[in-house]
Amino acid sequence: MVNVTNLTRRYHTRRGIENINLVLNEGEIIGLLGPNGCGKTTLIKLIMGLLQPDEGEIRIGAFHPNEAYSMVSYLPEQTYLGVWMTMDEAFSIFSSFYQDFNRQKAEQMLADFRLELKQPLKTMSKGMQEKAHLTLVMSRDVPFYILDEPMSGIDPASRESILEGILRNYNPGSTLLISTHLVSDVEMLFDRVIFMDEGTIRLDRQVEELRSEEGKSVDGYFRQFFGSLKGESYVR
Amino acid sequence: MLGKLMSLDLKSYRAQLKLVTPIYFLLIASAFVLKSLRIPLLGDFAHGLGFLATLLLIPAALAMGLIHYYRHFYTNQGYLTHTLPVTPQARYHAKLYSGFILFAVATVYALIGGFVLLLANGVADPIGSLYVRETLYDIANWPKVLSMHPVVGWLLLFLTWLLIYLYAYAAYSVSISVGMGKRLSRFALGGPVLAYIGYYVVNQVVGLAAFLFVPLSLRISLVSNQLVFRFVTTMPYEQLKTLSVFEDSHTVEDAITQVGGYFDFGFGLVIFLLLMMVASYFITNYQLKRINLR
Repeated sequence: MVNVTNLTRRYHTRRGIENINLVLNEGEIIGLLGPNGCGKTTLIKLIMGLLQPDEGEIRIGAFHPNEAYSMVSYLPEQTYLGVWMTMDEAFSIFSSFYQDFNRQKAEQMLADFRLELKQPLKTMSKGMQEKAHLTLVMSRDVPFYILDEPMSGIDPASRESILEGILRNYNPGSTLLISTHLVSDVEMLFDRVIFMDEGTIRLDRQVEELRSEEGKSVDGYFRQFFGSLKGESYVR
Repeated sequence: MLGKLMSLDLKSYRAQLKLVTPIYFLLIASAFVLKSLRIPLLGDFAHGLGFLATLLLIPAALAMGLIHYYRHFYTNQGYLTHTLPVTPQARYHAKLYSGFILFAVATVYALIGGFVLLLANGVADPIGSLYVRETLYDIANWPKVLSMHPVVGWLLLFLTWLLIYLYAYAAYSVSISVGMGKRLSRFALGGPVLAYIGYYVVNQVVGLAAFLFVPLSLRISLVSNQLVFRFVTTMPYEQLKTLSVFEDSHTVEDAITQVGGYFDFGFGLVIFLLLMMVASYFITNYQLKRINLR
């Protein structure tokens, strides 16, 4: 589904990512995990064509990222709708640009999240806005979903409903890449986890294999792994 | 897809126009009422304020286009704009056309506002309707002041109006896109400012050189009290270096007589400006294909 080859992106003042090689297969739910600033968002932006690599190549199916937007549904870390917009207007925009957008599903999801169709975004809390954006992203029927930190800055109660929203609306057979540093909240979703640190991939394993071989949950192993890397216990 | 993108842009402009339109027309209506009632100080003040608002309408429309371009492409909203399944060229063209619609709306507002302000002056003036009629007649016949055929005059004015928009769009789109590109984006908003300074310097230096030294001029000469325009293969510098003192003159005819019966306008400048617009188009499109969101 996605092939990343020798991917490098450097910034002037901070580390980007260095020589990443990655294959994301169809039907997998992958957790892209790592502490803040480890390069997860840079990697996702490169996959989305929103950043240009210094070296290396990305292919989504047979396409360059800029040609694959109809195949990918992406939830960025930031909210991106105009604050003057209502969800009704956002649905109209998505319906007009994406043939795969399922308005019925979106309205159901919005009702599940207890959000109003006519409510402007500027009157919504951060958690509500996150749910509104997730509704748009998960209401598309595509082979590849990317969710970048879908739970950051969200209270625990809302995290649960967001997780439910993802689970209920995720299209089996599609590839789902979720980046997060809040591992315990989402680890039950993952088939495979990728640990990133300082711009490189430190670990890429199947979750079942990791649990049986290490005898730990993903969250437990994540804490131990990054604790040993930093020479201290990893604290969220 | 272009239509859908434009509709997205226009929705954003509509939200801003909902605020600007009532304020502007309220100002104009107040100016009309207060001036018509001949309230000495307040009437003139309101009229002046209405006039100022009318003058600022078109620059404000260009500024709105610029801000919209930046926000839609290079802030959080860029995460939506750049992941829509459309080509970078379509995104560029949608901003160009929707910005032009806003520019045209601002022009229409300015014309309506200007007319109302003129009417207010007419009502306040003792000779009222005569003043309004004479002013409208003068405006309609402005090409005659330059001894031009009315059709040519109005066509030139329309082209100038169009070029103002195209040139402004080319300048801000290339400055923002280059300034937010890979090399300059580390300076945040300073990136577009630096890119614009570069654009401005190139415009001034190369534009002046093109104006003076390209051997193609539009020669404006006076024949039987009529202005005649024709192209000649002469550098304007040839004429300028022979000039000594240029005194104040009240009419175009006087000025042309003073400089020897003709005036060479360096057409190289026009060609250069057109080339800059074409170059901006390609540079901006290249940058939009290789977007780097912060």
